[in-house]
Amino acid sequence: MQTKIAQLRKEHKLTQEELARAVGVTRQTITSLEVGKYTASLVLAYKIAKYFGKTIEEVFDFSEVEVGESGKL
Amino acid sequence: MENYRRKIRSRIRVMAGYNSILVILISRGLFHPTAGTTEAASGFMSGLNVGLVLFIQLGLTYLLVKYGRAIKDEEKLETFYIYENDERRKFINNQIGGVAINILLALFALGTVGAGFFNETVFFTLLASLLLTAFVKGILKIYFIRKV
Repeated sequence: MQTKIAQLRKEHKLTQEELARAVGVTRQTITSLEVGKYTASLVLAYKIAKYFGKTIEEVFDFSEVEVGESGKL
Repeated sequence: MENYRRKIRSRIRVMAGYNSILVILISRGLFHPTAGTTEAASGFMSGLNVGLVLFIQLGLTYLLVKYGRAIKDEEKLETFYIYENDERRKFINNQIGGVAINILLALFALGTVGAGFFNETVFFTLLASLLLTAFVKGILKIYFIRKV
């Protein structure tokens, strides 16, 4: 799954650790999201989008994710 | 976070209680099995049992110290909370659990069939393990189908 997390994080001058702590996950989860290895749950996608003041669609591209694939590694 | 602190406190109490019970059981020599047919086998079984229990105790003691420190330090507590509730970690653990039980079922089934050609006791032991694993998987499946 493609995301704009890395880009937004750089724009806000945030480290992965800072973003992870702010949304309540580990740094490794943010890394996996940024490289597209892990698909965020709806709750996590909402939290990250809200943190950056964006909508979920502006941060995450769910177009290639099938229903039931949440969390896929 | 206060709820989580309470949860950690109750975990500390349970672990300390469990650890104390283990100390009593070890001191009374209850981990020395008597089923060994040779002295070497009995010695190995006793050593393995006591070793496993000591390993569990060391792990529990490590966690007790770690949790004890965390409830006094807000930042450490938050780090623990995040680690324990991290959704990717939970997802990985769920995947491991699901896959592991299927692999075990397949291995027990293969082992049971194979053991039938060599040893009756091993055959029935593996068959019992296979049935127990299948039963546990079935119960968990019914539980989660009803729960979710």
